[in-house]
Amino acid sequence: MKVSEILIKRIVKQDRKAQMELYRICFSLLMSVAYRYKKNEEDASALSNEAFLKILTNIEKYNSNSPFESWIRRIAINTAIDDYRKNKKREEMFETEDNFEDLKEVTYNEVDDTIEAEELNNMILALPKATRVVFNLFAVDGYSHKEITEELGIGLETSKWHMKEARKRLKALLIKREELNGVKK
Amino acid sequence: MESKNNIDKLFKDKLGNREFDIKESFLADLEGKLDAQKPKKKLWRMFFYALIALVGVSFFAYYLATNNVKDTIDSKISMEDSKQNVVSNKVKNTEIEGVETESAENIVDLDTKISQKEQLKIDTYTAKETATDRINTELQQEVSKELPDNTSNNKNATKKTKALNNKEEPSISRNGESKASSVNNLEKNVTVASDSQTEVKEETGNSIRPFEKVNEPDLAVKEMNSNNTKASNREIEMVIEKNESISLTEKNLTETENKTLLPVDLDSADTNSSSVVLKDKDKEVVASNKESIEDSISIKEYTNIDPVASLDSVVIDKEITQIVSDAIMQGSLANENEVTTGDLGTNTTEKEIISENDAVPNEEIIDSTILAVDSIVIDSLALEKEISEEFSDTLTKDDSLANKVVLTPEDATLKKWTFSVFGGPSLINKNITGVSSDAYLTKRNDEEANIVSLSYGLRMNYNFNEKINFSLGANSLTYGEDVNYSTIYDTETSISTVSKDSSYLDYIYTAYQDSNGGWDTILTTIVVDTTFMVDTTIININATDYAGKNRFTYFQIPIMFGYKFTFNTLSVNVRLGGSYGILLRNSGSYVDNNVSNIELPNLRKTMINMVASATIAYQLKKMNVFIEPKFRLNSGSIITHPEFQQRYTSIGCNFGLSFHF
Repeated sequence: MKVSEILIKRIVKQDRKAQMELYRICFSLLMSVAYRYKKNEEDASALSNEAFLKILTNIEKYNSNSPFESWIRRIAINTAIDDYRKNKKREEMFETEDNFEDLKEVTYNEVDDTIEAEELNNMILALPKATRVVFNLFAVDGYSHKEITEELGIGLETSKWHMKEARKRLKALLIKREELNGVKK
Repeated sequence: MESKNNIDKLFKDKLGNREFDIKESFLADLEGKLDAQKPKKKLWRMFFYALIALVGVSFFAYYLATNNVKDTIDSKISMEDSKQNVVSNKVKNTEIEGVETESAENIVDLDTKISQKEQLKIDTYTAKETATDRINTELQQEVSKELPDNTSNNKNATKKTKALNNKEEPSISRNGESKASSVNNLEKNVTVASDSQTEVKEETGNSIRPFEKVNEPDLAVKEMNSNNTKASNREIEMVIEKNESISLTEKNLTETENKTLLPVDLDSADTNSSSVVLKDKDKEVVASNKESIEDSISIKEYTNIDPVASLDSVVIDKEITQIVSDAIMQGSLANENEVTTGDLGTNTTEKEIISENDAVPNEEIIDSTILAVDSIVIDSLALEKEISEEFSDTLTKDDSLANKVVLTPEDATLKKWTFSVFGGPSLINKNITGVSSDAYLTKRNDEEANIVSLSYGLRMNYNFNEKINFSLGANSLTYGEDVNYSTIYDTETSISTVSKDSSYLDYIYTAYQDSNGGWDTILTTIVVDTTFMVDTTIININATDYAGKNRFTYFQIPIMFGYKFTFNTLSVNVRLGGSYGILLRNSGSYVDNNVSNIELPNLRKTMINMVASATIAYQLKKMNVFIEPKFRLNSGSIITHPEFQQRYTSIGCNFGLSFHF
C-alpha cells in the first residue's frame, strides 16, 4: 500500500476527491480489522469509517518514513478498542456458547486449506466480547498481554485468562466443524 | 503449546488481510460524517476563542478590582486622618509604611484597625467620665470627713444664700419654715443662668450695681464668711460637681438641709452678730446694716455686723476664691454659664462678697477650712493629672498597637482569594447493596480488601466575608480494592449427541441347481441398520484462581461552600458540597453473579460525590499550612449493574498549603 505525498497534501487541504481516493485504498484493511470486532457488516463499516476520519484528522502527523499500512492499521485497532471501551456491556462481554466441545486433540493442518476466512471470522464473533477483543489483539493484531492490559485497562491475569478461554472455545468450534464435515462426507 | 500457536496462526493468516468491496452505503455514511465534521471544528474553535476571551476579561476585571480596593483604602485613610489628629497620625504613618514596604495585604487591615482605634477612644472617654464620677464621689466623701463640724454653718450659709438668692421669699427664712424649699431654690439658682440675673437686677435698683458676669468660684466665695467658710466648701463641692459633670441631686440636698437646717432657730440667731459685707473690686469692704440691704437681702434679721471679722473673711475668701477658681479652671469647666448664680449676682457687683457671721469667727476653723479646700483642690488637680496621664498612656498603647502589624487568620480571610494545594491518603471502602445472592456478596466481601489511595489536588477559594466562602477545585481520587478470589468454578454443561452404529451384515447362502444339474450357492448380503443416537451430558468444571487490583481513577471537581471559625492564629473552615467526577482510567475485574467467572466492570463515566471536610489551618507569615480531614461518598453506584449498586466512601486526610491574595 502506497500513498503519495501529493495525495496527502491534497487531503490536508480538505480535498474531498483525495479523501475518497484514500478511502478506497484503505477500505479493505480497515474493514478486515473492524469486521473482527463487530458482529455485522454495518457496524463494521461504521467502525472503519470512524477510523478513516481519524486518519484524515491526523494525517498531518503521519511520518512518511514508517509504513502507511502499519499506521492506519494501528489507528483502526485503536478505534476498535475505543469503541469497545465505550460500548462494552455486561451482557455482551460474557456471552456463553454452549454448543462446542473440547474433547479431543485435533490437528488443524487439515482444515487450513479448506476453511474460509468468513467461517473463522464467524467463530471469532461467536466469542464473548471481551474474549474476542483480547484474542483479536493478541492473536491477530500482534499485541502483547502487557499492551492489552494497558489498552483495555484490565489485569495481566485477566488478559491471559481471556486468551486461554478464546483458544479453548475456538478449538471446540473447529473440532465441531470437522465432525460435521465428516458426517456430511 | 503447538495447538495454541496453530490456532493463532490460522486466524492471523486468514483474517489479517481480507478484501472487501466498498458499498454505496459505506460511502454515503462517510460523506455524512465528513460533512458533520466541519462545523464541529468551527464550534471548537469558537469555544477556544471564547475561553481565551473569558480568561482575558477575568484578568482585566481582577486588575481593576485590585486597584479599586487600593484607592478606597487610601481615601479611608485620608478621612480618618482628618478626624483623628493625634492618634490616627501614627496609625496612618504606620499603615502607609506598611503599604509601601509590605504588600497589599496590610492595606486591607487599615480600616479595621482605625475602627478599633475609634472604639478604643470611645472606651477611653467613657472611662474618663466614669473616673470623673468616681473622683467627685471621693471629693464629696473627703469634704464630709474633713468638715464634720460645719453642718450648722453650712445650714446657715445655705439658708442665707437662698435668702439672698431669692428675694421674694424672705419670710420663709425669717419664719423658720421648711428649709427644703430653700435648698431647692438654691439648686435652682445654681443652675439657672442669666434670666434670673436680669430679674434681680431690676429689683435691686440703684443700690446694686448692674450685674456683670460672675464666674462660679466668685459666687461660691461670695456666700462664705468666716464662720460659714465650711458652707462655702459645700458650695465649692457643688460647683465642682456641677462643673465636672453632674450636679447633686435634689434628694441629696434635701437630706442635707433636713439635717442641718431644721434645728436652727432663726429668731435666736438675730442675737448673734451677723454682718453682710459687700465688697466691690474698687472698695475693700462695704458694710451694710439690716436696713440698707433690707430690700434686697433677707438675711439682715439674723446677722450682726462685725467689720473686722468680715474683713478677715473677705481676705480668706479671696484666697479661697483664687484657689478654687484655679482648680475649677484647670478642671476644664464645661460651661460657666450653667453654674452662674444670677440671683447671687443681684446682691453683688462683679467682685462682691457677702460675708455673714452667725457666730463668733473661728480662725481655727477657717484655717482648717482653707487647708481642706487646698487639699481638695490639690487632690482634684492630682486626680485630673492622673486621669490625663491615664488617657495619655492609653493612647500610647493604642499607638503601639497600631504600629504593630499582627496578621491573624481573620485578616487573611479578608483577602478575597485563597489558592491551596494539598494531598494525602484516603481509605477507600465500598458498600454493595441490592445483591440477591448471599454467596456472591460473601465472596465479594471476604475476598476483596479495602485500599488506601493517595489523592492530590488544588483549590481556589473565594471569601465572601470573614466567615462564608466558596471553593472550586480539582483533584484525583482512585477507588477500588485488591481482589483475591480463591476459587472460581467455571461449570460448563453441554449435551453431546453420539451416534451408535449397530448395523450388521448377514449373509444368506442360497443353494440352487444349475442347468447342468449341479448345485451352486448364491450369497445374499443382508444389511440391518440399527444405528441410534445417544445424548450425552457433559459437565466440565474448571476451577481457577484470580488475583488482581481493581483501580478506578476519577478526576474530580469539587464545588463547596464553607463556614470559617477563627481562633487567633488557628482557623477551622468547615466545607460542604459536591464533586463531579470524570473517569480517567480503570482496570480490574470482578467475579460474576454466579461466582463462576470473572467479568469486567462497566463503570460510570461520570459520577457525583458528596463531600464534607474541615480545614484546620495555622497562619504563617505569608501562607497557611493546613490539615484537612475529608469525607466523600458516591451519590450513586459507580458500576452500572442491573442487580446491585456499589458505592464507595473515602475517609482521608489532606495536608497542604494555602496562599492568600
